[in-house]
Amino acid sequence: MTAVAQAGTQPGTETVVAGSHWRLSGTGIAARGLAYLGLAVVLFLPWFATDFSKTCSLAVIYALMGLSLNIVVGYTGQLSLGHQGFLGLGALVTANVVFQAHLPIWLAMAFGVLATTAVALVLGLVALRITGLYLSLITLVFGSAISSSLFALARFTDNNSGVKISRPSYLADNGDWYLVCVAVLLVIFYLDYRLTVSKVGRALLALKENERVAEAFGIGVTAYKLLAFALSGAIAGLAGGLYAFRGELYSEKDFQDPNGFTLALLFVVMCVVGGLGNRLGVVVAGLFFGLINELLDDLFYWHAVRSWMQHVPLLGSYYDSDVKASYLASLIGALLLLQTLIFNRGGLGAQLRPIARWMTGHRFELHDEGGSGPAAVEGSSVRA
Amino acid sequence: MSVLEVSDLSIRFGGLQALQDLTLTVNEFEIVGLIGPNGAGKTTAFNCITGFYKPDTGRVVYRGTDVTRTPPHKKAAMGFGRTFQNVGMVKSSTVLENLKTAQHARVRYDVASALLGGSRVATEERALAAKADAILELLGLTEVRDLRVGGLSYGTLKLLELGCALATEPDVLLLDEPSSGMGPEESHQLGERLLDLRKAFGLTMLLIEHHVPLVLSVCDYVYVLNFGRLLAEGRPSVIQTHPEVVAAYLGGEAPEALAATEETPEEAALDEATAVPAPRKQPVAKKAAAKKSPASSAPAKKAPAKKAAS
Repeated sequence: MTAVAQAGTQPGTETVVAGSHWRLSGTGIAARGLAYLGLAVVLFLPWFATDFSKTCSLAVIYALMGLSLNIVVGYTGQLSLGHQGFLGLGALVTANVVFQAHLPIWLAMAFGVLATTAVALVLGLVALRITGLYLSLITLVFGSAISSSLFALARFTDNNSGVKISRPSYLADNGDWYLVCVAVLLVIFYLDYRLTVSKVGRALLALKENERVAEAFGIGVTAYKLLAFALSGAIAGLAGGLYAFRGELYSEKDFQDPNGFTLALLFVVMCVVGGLGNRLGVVVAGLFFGLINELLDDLFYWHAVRSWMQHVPLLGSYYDSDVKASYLASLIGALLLLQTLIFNRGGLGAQLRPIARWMTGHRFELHDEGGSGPAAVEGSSVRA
Repeated sequence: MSVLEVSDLSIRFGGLQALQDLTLTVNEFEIVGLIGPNGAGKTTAFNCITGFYKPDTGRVVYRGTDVTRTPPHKKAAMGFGRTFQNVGMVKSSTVLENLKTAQHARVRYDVASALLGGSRVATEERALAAKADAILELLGLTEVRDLRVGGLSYGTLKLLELGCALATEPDVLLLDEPSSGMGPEESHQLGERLLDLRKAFGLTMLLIEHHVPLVLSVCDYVYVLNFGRLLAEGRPSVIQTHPEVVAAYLGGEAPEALAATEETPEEAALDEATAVPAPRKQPVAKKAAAKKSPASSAPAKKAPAKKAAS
């Protein structure tokens, strides 16, 4: 970033944010417009393919879960290992409100959000007293306990057969539901952006680093910690509702261990690989991990791939076995996690930053690192 | 009415009586020093006054309101600005972000409008940035505006921390060793700066400080703590030559000093003099304090009595 150097040569003049000296040219605006258009087209494409759009809905739901967990892990610095509990609770409440009370779909999803927000607030109350490793342990137990008890109650699972619900006719197509998921993701993405550029994000960052300093600045620790958990819970509840209607089925097995814990771990891996506190990175990682499961599964059905895999050490065991491709996905997750932690602490978000900055009307600079510049800070950065 | 009135503040940590019956008063526009050897309880006193610790006994009264149990963030909103011994800033943020964070309690938009955005929020965010710039200008630190706090030198950080405390729009400023990490020249400048700030913002200050020349040049009144108790109080010039204070800093006893200060008439005179509330007046350093302790020949009022009792 050049702002510092410029400020150094001419002290006294008001320092301005880097890049604002430089104006967007007409072609620059056109190029960015095209990029946004391309992005919109890519996001819209799955709408045409019914089966694939269902997979993509899941990817979007994972991205939402990434944003949800990112608030707890990235912004407040606490590790939650039970976020599948919130996803499941959102799905359970939404599905049962529709199934048992026959309320409209949007109202049911609102109930789902309310329920997860309330439970997240309780977890937030715990987090006021307990932090770090022990809080992670509590979230782990929470996710495991709620999925093996509440989720499995016969009255919530239509006597263990799974609650079958259906979307209203105008959203019956998987592609349509995919668009709903994308719309929700965009809204949450915007809200998350607002959070990080307003007093709320600054308060959370201050709290994460040093509660005493935060308090000296007039930031209420209790209120903001609870707010963070409530927001995280609300987003997860929303994701749960989308999840329930995506498959038009609530089945507790999706969230029970070992599936449940695998999910919880996946969410954490998504956040770290995406870059803690970096919403764009987390969303991209969420989409990636959401897609990879299904895509690998599909891949395995291709005969050519299967016969090729026979000859690859380690992978050979997958052939003819019942082991699902999702386990290969978790292997990929583990490798990506290692790669991120050793070589690239900023995660995907740091890699994407030049592009993101370009897209938001700044100059394209590959190396804007170095601790300067507001963009490098704005709700981002991994603190080891 | 005094800005800050602390009476009989005591706090115990396990077996350690960190503070015992601390009583001090800070009047409008005064700069009051709190000095004492390491471990005397100065920072503990700060933490009790600002609400980070809950004192076992005693009261903290701010402009007539009892704020003993008020949590620190509410006190910050009321007008308590404070700095920390080891720099209290958000290290991973930029200087600008820190100065904006420090204005948290002054931000008028609520959480919902923060999330939704809009022109009102944008206007206010710009105002926060403008205020941050003004503070940087005032401190002569505009060139570090967009740098990350973590990479700055200690002296710069102490100054910036003062800037953050100013950004909270304080009424009373509690500074914990503002000159640490600074050389003699820098701390002299800091003294000038504190006096300027008092004039510019109408501030009242309580500061913990080790640097004696700074204390002498800026403080109107000084309290000396030792082992959690008030050892002496008075004008800086008096404190400087106070035998017990000298003894506390250098070690050893001061029996002569004890003997010399056990004259009750003088003590009574001093009590009477300090009981009269000092009228508010513009900050003219040192003169303000002269009124507070006219019987300046009597060096200490409380500590000797307590020592005699125990």
